[in-house]
Amino acid sequence: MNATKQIPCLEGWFTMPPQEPQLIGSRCQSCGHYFFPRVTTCRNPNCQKDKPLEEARLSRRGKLFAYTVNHYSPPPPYHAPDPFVPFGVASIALPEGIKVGGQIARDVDLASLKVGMEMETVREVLYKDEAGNEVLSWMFRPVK
Amino acid sequence: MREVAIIGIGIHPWGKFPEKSVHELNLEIAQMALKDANMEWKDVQGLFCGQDPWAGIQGMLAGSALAQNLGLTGIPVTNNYNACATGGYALRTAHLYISSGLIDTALVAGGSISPKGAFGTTKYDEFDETDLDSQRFRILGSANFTGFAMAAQKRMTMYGTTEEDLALQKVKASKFGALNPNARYHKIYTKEEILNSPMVAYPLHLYQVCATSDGAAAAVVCSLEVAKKYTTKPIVIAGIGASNPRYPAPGMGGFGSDFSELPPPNENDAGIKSTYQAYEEAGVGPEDLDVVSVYDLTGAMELQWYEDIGLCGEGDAEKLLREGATSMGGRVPVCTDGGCTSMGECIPAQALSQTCEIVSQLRGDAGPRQVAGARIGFSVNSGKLGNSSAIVYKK
Repeated sequence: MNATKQIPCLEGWFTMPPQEPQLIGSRCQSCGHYFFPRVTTCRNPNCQKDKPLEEARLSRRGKLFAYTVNHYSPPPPYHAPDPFVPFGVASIALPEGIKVGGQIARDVDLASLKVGMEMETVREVLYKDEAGNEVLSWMFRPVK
Repeated sequence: MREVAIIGIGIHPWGKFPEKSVHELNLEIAQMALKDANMEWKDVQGLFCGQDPWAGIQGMLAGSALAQNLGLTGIPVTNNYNACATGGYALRTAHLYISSGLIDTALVAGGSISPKGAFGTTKYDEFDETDLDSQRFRILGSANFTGFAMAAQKRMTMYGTTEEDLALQKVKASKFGALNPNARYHKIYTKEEILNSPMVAYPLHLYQVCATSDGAAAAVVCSLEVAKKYTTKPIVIAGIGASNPRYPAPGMGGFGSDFSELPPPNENDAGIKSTYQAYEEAGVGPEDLDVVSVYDLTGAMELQWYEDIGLCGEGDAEKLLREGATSMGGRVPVCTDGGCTSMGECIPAQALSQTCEIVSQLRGDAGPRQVAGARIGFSVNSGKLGNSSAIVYKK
């Protein structure tokens, strides 16, 4: 029997094991602004753009900016589990000055979420694909 | 620049019409608006039409298809798509053609047969990582209302908005919708019914999530001088604004936002900018408005608009709603057609449906939902990636 293979839901958007979970964005070396997901050019209209962008691993920790609990099973291309279980979607404010979106980790008590609480980036199985691979995504959970 | 007036409107009911195509809808409302304007198609010098992204290439060329159906006359046809601001931008473009003197008369139209459920992407390529819309659905399970729910939740945190306040907006809208034959929903809801309906995305219950609707709306516009040949009741476009947000772009519900300090820049930067452009051009302020239409995809969004267009100060919108100032018979009734709340959303047509309602009100033709003595009206919207349009209308 083959060992279960783990693949990223999107290649290059976040680190894979054995590295610790981190989102991968871009940093403009001219103006210092960060972007997620990665961009091909700095989007700051006031930037001189005289230095290139660099790949940036974003802070693992940030603050819960806003969230919702989705009680509705999204249609494809979302791979909803059967039976469907409500899940959290959040916007996290990172020290880099950007907000990043992601789901809330599956074992978090969604009633415990509070705006402003400290959250950390984790990596979990989003769904299993037809070949039996575990498709991983970044998610967030309150810092214990 | 010449003054421009609206002299004809046409609107199809909002709802689900699977037996029709967008082209049939557009033809119906174009003919309705022309008849209302007492103008013949051959006298129209420009056509400005919203694109229907759900109808393929023919939908992207909806204006060209409409011109074929009305009979090709060789006039310039502009097809445009700016999400929820589509109709407003189409009107803006027609306004520029006419005010500059390039043409005297124009037909502005937009319609769509919308997808069922939630607005998705028109593409759905799981493996195209540059299509952030597909990826938002696939990775986050985030529909449009997921972002709206987050904004509503954020407002509750910032201003103490209650779930009851959000339900009250739906109650208010449903009372207007009950009186609008073109609205999709005519039932008057109670707060209890709303708050007891199934939770969709906290804090939004099923009856608070805007439906996707089919619909179409149109307007005939011309220079004010020409208008006098057709009607004694022209409605003047006194000010019109159109704007995109300034960096940093907001990003609730998606993968992220641009760099920004906290607290964030207003998520509705473009809406505010286009509003004040329109006010300035018209020489009016929010205190002058008799009837208003905002983009009420959720109760929280309507409340946000009250502040963004200056009907009240920041954090005071709930008070304005609770006092009834924006309800039927209030100081400045908002969304008198029932709004997106009672119509549902039909993206390329929605801004023009707002125009149709304000024009009806200023003409005194709004029947049982008429705002007595309305002389100055205003409509505003903003949509995906922040594009916004705003219009001040005068009798």
